Amino acid sequence: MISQVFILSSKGDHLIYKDYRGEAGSDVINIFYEKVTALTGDQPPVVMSHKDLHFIHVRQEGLYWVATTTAADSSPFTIIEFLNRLTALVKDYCGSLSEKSVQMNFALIYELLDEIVDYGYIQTTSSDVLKNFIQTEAVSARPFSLFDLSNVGLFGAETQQSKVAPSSAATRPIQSSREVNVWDLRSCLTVCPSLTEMRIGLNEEFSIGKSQLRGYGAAVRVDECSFHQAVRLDEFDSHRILRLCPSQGEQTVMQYQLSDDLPSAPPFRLFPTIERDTGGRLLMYLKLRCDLPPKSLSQELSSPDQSAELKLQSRAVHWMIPRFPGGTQLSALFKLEVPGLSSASMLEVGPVGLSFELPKLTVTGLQIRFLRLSPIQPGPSQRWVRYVTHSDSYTIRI
Amino acid sequence: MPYLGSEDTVRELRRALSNPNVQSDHLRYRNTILKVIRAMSQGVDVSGLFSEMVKACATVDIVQKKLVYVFLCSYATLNPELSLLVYGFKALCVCHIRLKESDVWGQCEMLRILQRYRPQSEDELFDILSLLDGSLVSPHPQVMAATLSLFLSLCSSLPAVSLAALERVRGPLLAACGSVSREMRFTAICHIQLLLRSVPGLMGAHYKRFFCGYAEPAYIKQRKMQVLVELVNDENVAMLLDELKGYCTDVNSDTAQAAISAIGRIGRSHSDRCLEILTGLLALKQEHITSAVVQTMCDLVWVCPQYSNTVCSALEGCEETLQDSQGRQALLWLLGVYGEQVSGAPYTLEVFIDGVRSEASLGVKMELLTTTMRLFVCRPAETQDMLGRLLHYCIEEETDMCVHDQALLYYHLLHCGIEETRKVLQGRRSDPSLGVLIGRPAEPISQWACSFNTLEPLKQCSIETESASRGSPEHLTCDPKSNPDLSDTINCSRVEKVHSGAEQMEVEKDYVCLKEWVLSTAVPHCSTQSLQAAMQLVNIQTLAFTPPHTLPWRVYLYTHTQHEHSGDTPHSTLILGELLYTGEASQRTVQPRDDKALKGFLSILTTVLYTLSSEKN
Repeated sequence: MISQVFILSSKGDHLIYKDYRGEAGSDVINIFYEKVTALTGDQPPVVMSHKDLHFIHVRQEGLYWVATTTAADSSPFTIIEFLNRLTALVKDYCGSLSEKSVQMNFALIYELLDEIVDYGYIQTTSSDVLKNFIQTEAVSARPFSLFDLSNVGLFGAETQQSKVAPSSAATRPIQSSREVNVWDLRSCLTVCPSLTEMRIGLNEEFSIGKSQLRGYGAAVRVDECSFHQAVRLDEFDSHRILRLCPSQGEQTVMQYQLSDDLPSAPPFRLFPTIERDTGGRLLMYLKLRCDLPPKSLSQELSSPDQSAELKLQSRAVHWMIPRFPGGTQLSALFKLEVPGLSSASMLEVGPVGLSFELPKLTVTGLQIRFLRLSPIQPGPSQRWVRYVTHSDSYTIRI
Repeated sequence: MPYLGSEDTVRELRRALSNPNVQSDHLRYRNTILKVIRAMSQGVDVSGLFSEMVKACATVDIVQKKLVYVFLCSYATLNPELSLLVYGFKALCVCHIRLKESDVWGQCEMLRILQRYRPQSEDELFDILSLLDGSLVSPHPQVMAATLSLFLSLCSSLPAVSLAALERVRGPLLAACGSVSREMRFTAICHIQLLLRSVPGLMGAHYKRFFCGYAEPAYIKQRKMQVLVELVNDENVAMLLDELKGYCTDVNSDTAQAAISAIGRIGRSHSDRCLEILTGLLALKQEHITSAVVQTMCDLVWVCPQYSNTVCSALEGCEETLQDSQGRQALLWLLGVYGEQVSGAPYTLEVFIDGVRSEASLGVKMELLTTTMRLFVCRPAETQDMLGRLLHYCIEEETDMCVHDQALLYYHLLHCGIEETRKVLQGRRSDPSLGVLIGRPAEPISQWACSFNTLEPLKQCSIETESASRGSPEHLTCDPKSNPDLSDTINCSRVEKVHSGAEQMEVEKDYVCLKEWVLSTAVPHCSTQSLQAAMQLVNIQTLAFTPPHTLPWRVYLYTHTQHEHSGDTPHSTLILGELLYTGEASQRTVQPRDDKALKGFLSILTTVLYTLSSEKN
């Protein structure tokens, strides 16, 4: 049972405020901000209390998305999932999630807040249902251009309607006019009319669970996976086909997990050498190898335009590599002046964290064999399947 | 509409609600529902329409859904018993329809409402459970959590079923731990900590899921480390310690300290490996790391005194790196208790004593006094001179009353003789009955079931408050501003022990009450700080006291003593005491049958009180 919802910028500016139950006043907003900024890094900020009121918030894009409740036995799962769904809705409707887009679309967001919660009870967060009620048009924070081709090289588009840039389709606000489907392996964005069923075929040899026989196990395997509630699994066992009626906006259709036995080698390997030179300086010689097959990466073979920067606050060296062709190797030597460097301090160096985006690749080997809509849509329909592997925490200890 | 008696009204409405022509026409359906609500607000008993109304909820018409919610919510408030249905069969229908056709939020609300319903028979109970089974493994964490919460409350008398349910939710909870949303991850981890209290082995095979991502916020890393400590076993200890070692040099010093603390806790069962790691960290000569390591070693040796040798040899030279008061306090405690094994102890101490004038920390000064006294008792020749200087400074020049009174007490103690001093100051070894805090026994689910799926688990700072700011494990800082609040003055792990001991006593009704008269003129007039300091020396803790100079004046005390010759099963004695001064001194204690322990306690207490009296004269 939610009492209030408000959105603050990272500096504490009031962007949105909605009161559902009249149990507390708007002065709590400043109380929240003071409390949350006073916490040290190790104190959990997610749930805080002030007298009889409890604050629960999520942080996205630097903004604070806060819900308050007077009930201490409220479900944190419910409220956090609600707040996450709210941010997803705002992102779907406004095209992007940022302080600017929230500011420009406050009327739309108030309308959303009006519909999704009634007297503190969550009604719905489904974009399908809401589209019947939301009247306000979104204002895009970034002008949308059909000719924005900056990322076109990343796609293996099946049906090339060359003027449309697939990557930016993901940031286009929901409209009912065009029929555009963009698929990530984890999410689906579609603007087609509802009541269309989509059938997604995965690799036939895809299997779930630990393989009993080493060496005879399926090539494409995950430890566990879970599906969105709307997915129908009646053809999954036999043919590895998922069926669903996708709704507007972004959805996670399937989530899976794989650990220990990866079918392919890790995409990057590091060969570090850490030494101290005669002048007492720290020398870090890093050889970074990318073991992906050369053709799986971008077509551009331009020489890498790298740079490096020392970030004193985080005591880290940042090495920026814009493009890293598969099957190649890069090396770098960093020399650092470290006052009071002892041999024992060398133990403190590391770990190396890699942050990357690998297009056209899935580590598991999971692929989409086909994507069919029924009823068959008249006219050409555009659909894109994009494979991306993101690093979340790729750490190498040295 | 013509006036109808309320029974007729209800019948008409039921007919309308069940009419398929009405149901297929949204507007008519909606209007009928409105009539129901209107009737309800006019005081008509519409409880007979409950199931039809719930069926009406299964619709995509938002307005209609909202109306039914209004009905359900108002109904629930007005008729809590009735609304949850004495009609057992209907409860199942309601459940079934709602769960199949509503969205996640509707399901959650339904599950919450069902919490209040008590099944009429075991058959009905199991029917409900099998209906809910699918929701237990829902990919939506809020549905899974609400279902488990309901399961646990329905099965509170069926522990086997509850345990099975915990096993079922392991998958969804782990999935939530890997959520993109860090707040969801945090929520899942906090709830996993609850489950581990009853099923410690639940996540054993999945310990890698609790490894920390390097960019994760500190509060998540620390919770994950707490979980890792719980999951350690002989097979994974090497890999786990390797991982934790990596966190010890984290850029965030709080995270580094938490990692070091975690290694210390694992060290209680895997001491050799952990001590090796901790000693290696000292070589880095990093201030915050050294401080955390010294404090952790204090805790470790408190529980495993057999490793005092290793710890002492590691300590050589680390006083140069230590800057903060907790670290120095911990070092001093170690030097005091194990001073005989540290060859350079007197010299380290001398450096502290020479700098006592500029020492800002109260805790360090108090610890310094105790340590120097202890070292004097076992190494008098080397320590006599510096002890004299220290006592002189504290008595003559020190402005802080705590320190002054403590020093004065020691001075008088010395006059009682070296043997008396040794007896009082004997380094307290930990009470083994406190138990090793790793591998604690599994708790019954009922202990935490009511806080599952509430905000509670996300608010607790940690299960065991192993904050790095405790200094020495024995000597609590005597803070003049501290209020007599339990959590402030007592080490949390001891508090748990006290509570369990006290509860046991009430259940067994096996206790003895004793009253003793003690002549002491000092007691009502000495400062509470002096009394507290004096008591702490002999390991008597003060729980609470009334302000001085008030009558009747009371102090509540407790202590733990250990049987010396107790046969095969060692057990300890918990003594609770009340000092009461109404003009005449009296004293009362409550404890299990153990006259020997009580007499020992009384004799120590009396000594302290006499010492205080003689001080005042």
